[in-house]
Amino acid sequence: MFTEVHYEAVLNYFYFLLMDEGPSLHSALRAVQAVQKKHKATQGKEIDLALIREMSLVFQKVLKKNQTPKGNPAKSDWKAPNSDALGSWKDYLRRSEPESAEALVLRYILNYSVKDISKALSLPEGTIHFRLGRGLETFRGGKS
Amino acid sequence: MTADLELSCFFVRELFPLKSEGTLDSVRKKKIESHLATCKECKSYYDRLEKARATILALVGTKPVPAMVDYLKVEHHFWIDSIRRLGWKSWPPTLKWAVEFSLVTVGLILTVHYFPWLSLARTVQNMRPEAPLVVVASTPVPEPEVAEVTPVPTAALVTVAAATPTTQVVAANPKDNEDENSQTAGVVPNENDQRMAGFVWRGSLKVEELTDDVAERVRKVIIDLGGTKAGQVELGYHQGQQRYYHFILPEENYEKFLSVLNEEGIVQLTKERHPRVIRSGHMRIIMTVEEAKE
Repeated sequence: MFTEVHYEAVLNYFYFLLMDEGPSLHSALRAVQAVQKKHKATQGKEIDLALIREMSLVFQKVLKKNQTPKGNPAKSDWKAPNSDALGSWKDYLRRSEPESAEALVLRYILNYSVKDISKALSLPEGTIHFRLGRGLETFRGGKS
Repeated sequence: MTADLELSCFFVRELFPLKSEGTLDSVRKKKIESHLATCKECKSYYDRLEKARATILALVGTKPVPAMVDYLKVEHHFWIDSIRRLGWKSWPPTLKWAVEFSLVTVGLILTVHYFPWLSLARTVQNMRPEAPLVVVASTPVPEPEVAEVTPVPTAALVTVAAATPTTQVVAANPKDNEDENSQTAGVVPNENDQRMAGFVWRGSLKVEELTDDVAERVRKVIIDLGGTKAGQVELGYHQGQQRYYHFILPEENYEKFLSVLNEEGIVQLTKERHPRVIRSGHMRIIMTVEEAKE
């Protein structure tokens, strides 16, 4: 059911939102287990939607526990293709709204379509566009 | 939005995500382009957002540590993960053995202490047919099968008309100083009462809280199951902190009696030898109801 791409997507999602390996791995595991438990018979594209939904739910739970994104580049062993961009992203995370950051990750880094994101999160496409716009607007205020 | 109206700066900026997605219709797309050609601020805004988008897109292809992907692929369970975290496999064998031995010992102690051995023994005993203790005189007297029974000399045994394997011979307790009523008037030992020819079930019912309601319920159960008072005192007699029940119960209702009492609390009844006997098919029970001590 799950492919390598799915595992990498869920890890990247939490890595870019939490910027800490331990919590990212823990949250990713929770999301994967939730999908495997609730959507056993799900196939094809529905897995992506279920994954987005569960990732978002786990992320909201993490936010409720006040586990704000930290960002510790020294500890990270992940291979980012562009370290400058990663620095800008970390800078952005300190100023961002979680919903906008989530939209940016889903749309641009994980490359899910706006339609899929809105369907998975049960939100209008306009809301996703709005969040993307706000996210990019906040991002451009940094050192990018 | 009509074709001849110009877009304001606010709308042009709000439409950036749609334009970058390429989902705008051609009319609005042309309007935005014409606006950007004339408005430097909006052009600058678009350039900066596009740059931001490009920066984020540069992060596409970030690879997580392979060990993490492998971690997600494996099925996880709390206990398995805990053992993994403890590094059980890397422990020295002696330490492993010590831990295993301790766990087994603790398990055994808990089992011996908390397992309901009494209930099990009673169940087994109830499933097993009783050995005939008293037999018709014309047949040879077999050795009693019950281990705790002291064999009684054949000559001293009471002759019972038709002793079956399920015959229960219950005797009165002289200590209780009760009169034999009609239920107990089956057979009385012929020579002296000290010969242990009968049986009596003694024990207690331990309840969490001993109230009048509980006592009354127990009394009602006994009566409903065909039990009749034996001895001088009434069923449920106050005896200090306990309630005292001395009664005769039809043997076939014993199972049901136990099952009903088990709902009230912990029942412990032991079969004991007793000098006096009663008629077959009945059993004498002397039971107290008391509060279980903490």
